[in-house]
Amino acid sequence: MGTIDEMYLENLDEWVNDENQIVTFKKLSLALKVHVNKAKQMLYSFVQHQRNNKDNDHLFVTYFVAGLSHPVVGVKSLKCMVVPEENIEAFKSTLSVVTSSHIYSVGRSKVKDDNKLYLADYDSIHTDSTTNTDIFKFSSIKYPKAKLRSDAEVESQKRYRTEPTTSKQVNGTSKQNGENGHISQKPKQNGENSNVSQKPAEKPQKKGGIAGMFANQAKKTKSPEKDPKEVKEEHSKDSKMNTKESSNNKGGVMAFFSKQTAKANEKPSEPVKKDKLVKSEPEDKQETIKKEPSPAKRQVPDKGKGKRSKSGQDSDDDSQKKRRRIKAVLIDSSSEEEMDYESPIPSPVREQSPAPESPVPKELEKESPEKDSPEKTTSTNIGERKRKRRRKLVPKTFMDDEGYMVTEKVWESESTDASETEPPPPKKPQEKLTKQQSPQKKKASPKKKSPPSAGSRKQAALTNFFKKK
Amino acid sequence: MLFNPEKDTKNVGKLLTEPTESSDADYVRTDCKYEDLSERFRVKSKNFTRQYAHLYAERLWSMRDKVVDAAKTKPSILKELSEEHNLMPQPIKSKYTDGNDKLILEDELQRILLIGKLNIQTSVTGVIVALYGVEPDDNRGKFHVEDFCYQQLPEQIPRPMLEHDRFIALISGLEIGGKDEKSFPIQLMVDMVTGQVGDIDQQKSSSSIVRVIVAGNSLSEDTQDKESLQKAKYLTKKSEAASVEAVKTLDDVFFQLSGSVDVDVMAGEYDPTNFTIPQQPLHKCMFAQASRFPTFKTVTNPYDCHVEGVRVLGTSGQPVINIMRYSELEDPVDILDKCITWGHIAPTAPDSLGCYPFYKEDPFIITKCPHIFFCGNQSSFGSKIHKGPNGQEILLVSVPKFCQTATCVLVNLKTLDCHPMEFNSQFSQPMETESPEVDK
Repeated sequence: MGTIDEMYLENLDEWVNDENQIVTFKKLSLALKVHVNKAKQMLYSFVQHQRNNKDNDHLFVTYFVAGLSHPVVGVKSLKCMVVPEENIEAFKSTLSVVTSSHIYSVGRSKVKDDNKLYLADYDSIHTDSTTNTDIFKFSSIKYPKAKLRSDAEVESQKRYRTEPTTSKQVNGTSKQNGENGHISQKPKQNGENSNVSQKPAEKPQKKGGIAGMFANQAKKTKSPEKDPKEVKEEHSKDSKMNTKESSNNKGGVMAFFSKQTAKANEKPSEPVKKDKLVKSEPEDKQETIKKEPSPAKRQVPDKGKGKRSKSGQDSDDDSQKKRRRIKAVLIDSSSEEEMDYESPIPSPVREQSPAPESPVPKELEKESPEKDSPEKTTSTNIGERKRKRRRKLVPKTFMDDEGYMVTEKVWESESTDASETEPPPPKKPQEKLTKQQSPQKKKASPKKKSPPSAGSRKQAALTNFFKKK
Repeated sequence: MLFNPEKDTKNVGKLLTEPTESSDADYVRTDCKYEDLSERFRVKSKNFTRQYAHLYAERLWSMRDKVVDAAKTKPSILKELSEEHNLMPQPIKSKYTDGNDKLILEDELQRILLIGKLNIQTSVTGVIVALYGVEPDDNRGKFHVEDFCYQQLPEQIPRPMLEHDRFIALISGLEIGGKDEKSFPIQLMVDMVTGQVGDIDQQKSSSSIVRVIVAGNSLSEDTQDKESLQKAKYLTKKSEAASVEAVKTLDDVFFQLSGSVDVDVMAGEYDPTNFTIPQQPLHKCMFAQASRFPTFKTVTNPYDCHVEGVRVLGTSGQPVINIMRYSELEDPVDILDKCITWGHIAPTAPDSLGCYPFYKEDPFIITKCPHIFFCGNQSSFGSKIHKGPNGQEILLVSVPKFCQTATCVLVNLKTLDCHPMEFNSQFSQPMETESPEVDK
């Protein structure tokens, strides 16, 4: 008991005097996991201790006083009142019988309205998006009948409620998540937040899925850290700042969004880095090009896996997803033409990835059409299509007029290649050159080849896609 | 009374001491016998194509026998008369605020102007009544009422003798989301009922509260965002209904309550359910947290149930408020009293009070005599015992709006005693709430 005494006095001292919190008996009870009545006594003893031993007369103490009023028209009412210390006697004098009198809260600053008191223990009572069930544990009244339905039951309920609209989209994205970790997710979030033009087009479609992702993520990240003590500590520390936010965190659809915002606040660090990385691309292409393949390659096989396994299972579902993606992509690319340097960031990482391996999908395509996998062909085509537009910054080797081999880094030409609508002068000659010469030419040529060939295949494949459907 | 002063005050102040083990009071709330009798208020088929005439006809026919029964107990002349004139008990009409109001008696075939003894200002449309009087030859078309009577109050099943005090708490008009919302008093009320605040004996008393009935208007009228209905969909697509936040707060309140006591939530005028009475229960989906407890229940308005063998009947207040508008009756308790006398929970429906067009039934007729009859969302607390002709005793309770009075009502099922419980804090104007009390 002695050690406990020390502890709670110290705790209270810290909360009240150092952190200038208002500590209510409920907050104390939840924080120290003691019976509410004991918490009330602890507050009392803390106040005594402060006043007698430390000469601290600056504590503002509120009391809970209840009692029967004097009869008004024959009716006695039970009055329950929280009053500041100096008003206790005045209030008691209005009562015929006092039935309760104990400390409600202790704080250093004066409480001017009850909202402050209401918020003082709000955070202890409300953890995350739910209400802390500990309040029942330390209350003086137990009701055995009030048993929470099992978590599993509730979970299933929740799932049932939230998923109907989102499940499909979530499936698509979350599977990728599972495989790629956060890689694919972050860029997307990035794009959403930074790319304004994309937003209207993407949001309506993906909202559910993204919300789902955030929900999942939130669950993932929140549950492990949920060491009650830590949480409580945190809560009590930044209670004031949190009050508003946590008031929002109460589950349902809103929870997604509040969590999302919270997440967004935490996240930026990483995405931003990536942002910078990719943004710098245009300037020092060589470096980035060298760098890029690695994450890209990593992704490619993953994607392939995912597709293959999925297409086997439920092609219907899959194709739906794919169609959606196509749409998004189209919008992407068109917006990119305008935004160019900002928006391509997320997509190149993904879409360019097939580039180094382009020969392989090509072959696959040629061989497989009869076999099955319409999705496969279409998807690679889509990829290529994009690839073609984004293909830039590639060093090229070609024959000049005099018949010499010349290797040049021709980023300008490639970037204009991306947007066929406004082809700058330098580009055209090069393209022609590559077309003519690539058949005869050597090592570097495969790369050269791919853009034009991709373009030609693109259309065929698109029609193909629709035929299959 | 909730507290026996001698017994319950000796421990007051015990919590103003150093921490002791003995202070860890642990009371177990007792489960009570409970039965929901509101089945008749559940609308099963939803057919809104019917006229309301059926409702009056049904009311007339099903209450006629009872009224005739009652008439038998009156002087025999009445009986004669009702035979002579072949008069049927019929609805009466009155309008509010006008001395020129006329009462009209109406049955399936005809209507006739009433003059005489029947008080126009305390009568409302839809009441079934038997009249005694004459239609004088020199004043044709007018019926001079000399006496009248209403349905005979059904027999009352005696209340069981309870060994211990058992309380139900009646709360109405939390009106969360409104400008009057009283967050702290609501929390204090929750803490009181759930045994957080109070001294040990107070908590013991609180543990004998076996049921909390929330009589409507848990959400404020302000949460009904009618503007959004007029705006184009694409403008409001991203905006959130005002009630979302409020419902979450409410869910939290109910969660805290139902973790410690049985809670019945009745629908009310401003609550998100159908507007016409009988209002159907609020959907549990709204209360994701609270509905995790088996103790949490959403019920109809009106609501009828047995708690520990005591029959409790009540509404969220619309019928009473409506009667208030259409008569000169002001005190909700008087109106409740009238309703019992008239034998009908909501006589003004469907005339001036929205009501489902029932066919072949009128669920609002009082066919079983309750022990407690309450109405929510009134301006003040009030209670009264209505004594029936055959020894029936009905406690009438007007439950005040919490958002205005911060008051809920405790009813002792053992004694039918009833008293308000008020929650507040005194910070801004320390003396304001006290002075009137001191005078009295």
